[in-house]
Amino acid sequence: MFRIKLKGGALYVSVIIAILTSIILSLFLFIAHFNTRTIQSQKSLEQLRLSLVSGFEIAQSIYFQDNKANHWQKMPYNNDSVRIKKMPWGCYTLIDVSAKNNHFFIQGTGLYGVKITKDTALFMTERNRPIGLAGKIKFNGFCYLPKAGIKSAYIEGSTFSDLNSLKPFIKEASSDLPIITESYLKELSKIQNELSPHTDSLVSFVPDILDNSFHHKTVVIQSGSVVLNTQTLKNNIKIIASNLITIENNCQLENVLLIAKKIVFKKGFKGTVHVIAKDSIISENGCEFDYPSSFCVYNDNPLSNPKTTYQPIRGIFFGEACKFNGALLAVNDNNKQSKMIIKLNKHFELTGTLYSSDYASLQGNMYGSIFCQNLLLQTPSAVYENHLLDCLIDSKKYSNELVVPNWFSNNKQKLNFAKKL
Amino acid sequence: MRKLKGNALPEVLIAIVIISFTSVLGLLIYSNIQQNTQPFQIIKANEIAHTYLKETIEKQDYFDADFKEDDFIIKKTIQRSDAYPDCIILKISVSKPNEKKKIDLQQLIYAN
Repeated sequence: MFRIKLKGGALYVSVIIAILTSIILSLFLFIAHFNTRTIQSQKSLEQLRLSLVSGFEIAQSIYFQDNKANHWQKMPYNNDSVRIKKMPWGCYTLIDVSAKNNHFFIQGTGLYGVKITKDTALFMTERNRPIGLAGKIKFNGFCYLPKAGIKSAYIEGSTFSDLNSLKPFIKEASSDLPIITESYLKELSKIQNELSPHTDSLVSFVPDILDNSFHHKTVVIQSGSVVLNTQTLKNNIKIIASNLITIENNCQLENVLLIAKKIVFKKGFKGTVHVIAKDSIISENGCEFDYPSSFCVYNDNPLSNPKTTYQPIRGIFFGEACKFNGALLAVNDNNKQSKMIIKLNKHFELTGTLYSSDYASLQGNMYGSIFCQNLLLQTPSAVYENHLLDCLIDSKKYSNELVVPNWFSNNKQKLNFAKKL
Repeated sequence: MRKLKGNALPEVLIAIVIISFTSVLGLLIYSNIQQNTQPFQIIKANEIAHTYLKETIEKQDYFDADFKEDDFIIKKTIQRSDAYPDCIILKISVSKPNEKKKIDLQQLIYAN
């Protein structure tokens, strides 16, 4: 038989039991501590995400000033800090927010605007002349037209006779277009003419491939004239030319900002761009611009020869079968030294908003809102003022999704998110 | 004479004391851990807080209010921001009756 002689056996047993119990309890303590830390960490990250969203909200406040931009500021309710960068990017507003606490650091960037006014399809000014309609015409949304109303016209072998179907959509125009906010135009002028050493980083050549995050400084490429031919450029990049920028159709551009006197997109180009020109923007046939793109022609510099009686024509010109998703803006300076026109050609498709302080030549399908003083239609044989040919204007189709730039001073809408960058 | 082998009385008493002490301590620590962690409760509270936060922002219902849901008490408070007077601070606190707060969520909202 196996016999163990153990002296003081009860004490040994109790010590062994105590040791086992303490090991088990330590394991429980460790698991609980680990769980608590994970949950605390998760709570901290959740709150930091809300602080990031709060940063975007702060950027919309009228009390948010330039001197607070790009500096860390503590949130009023806890120890999280946010840093906000807000600047115009084409016609839209770019907001970049970083948020940090003791454990985490997160960032977010977006293009912002306001929800499109779904009731306004066409807004013109009172000119005491009727609008002539020819071809396939359809309105879905209110059209603010001159008191003289609408009439049938015969253009290029087509006419439009069903005037009664459009009458429910017609309202009386006012004497002026809604005014573009002066501060908005000042920002456009500033971005055309100034560089900031705090936010911009000048480079001397055009790289073949570059994707620059909005969390870093903006890469600025500056030259007299620029030709973009096989480059792939994305995000936080500004290309500035004092004369002309030409973009070939094999160039890939995404969210890039182009600033020049004149910009030309060659036939078949596809991309998302934001363009600010002083003279004109020309897009050849078959170009497609994805949402949210923006074209803007604005020049506040006085003409070199102001005594001339000839008023130059500036504006945005599209070729046939182009598609544009975003905002088109052609606005005159206060002196009205030139005439502005936005010309949309045959089979054009616009999803967004258009504002011309003078003329608009409309053809194709427009899903959004159009603001212009007068209509101008150019055919191979003649030029017609205040005429529409083969035009669909529908402000309601995409009104729930579309976000357009906040141009008007009386628009107190909250900024909406157009695209995450 | 037979020799009887056994443990001395003080030895047994000491053993009993050690075992009872470690058992009671173990039970106390375990019940404390159970009460304080309860991760599933905190996850549930977090979900409820997010739901009420999202609802408040969507409906733009910027008024103080108290709610009850699934044994939780939800308290919503609104306060103007000092630095940005056109913004409000929305705070959602979730707790259980007679227990300390499970979760607090706060967000600044532009509410012109």
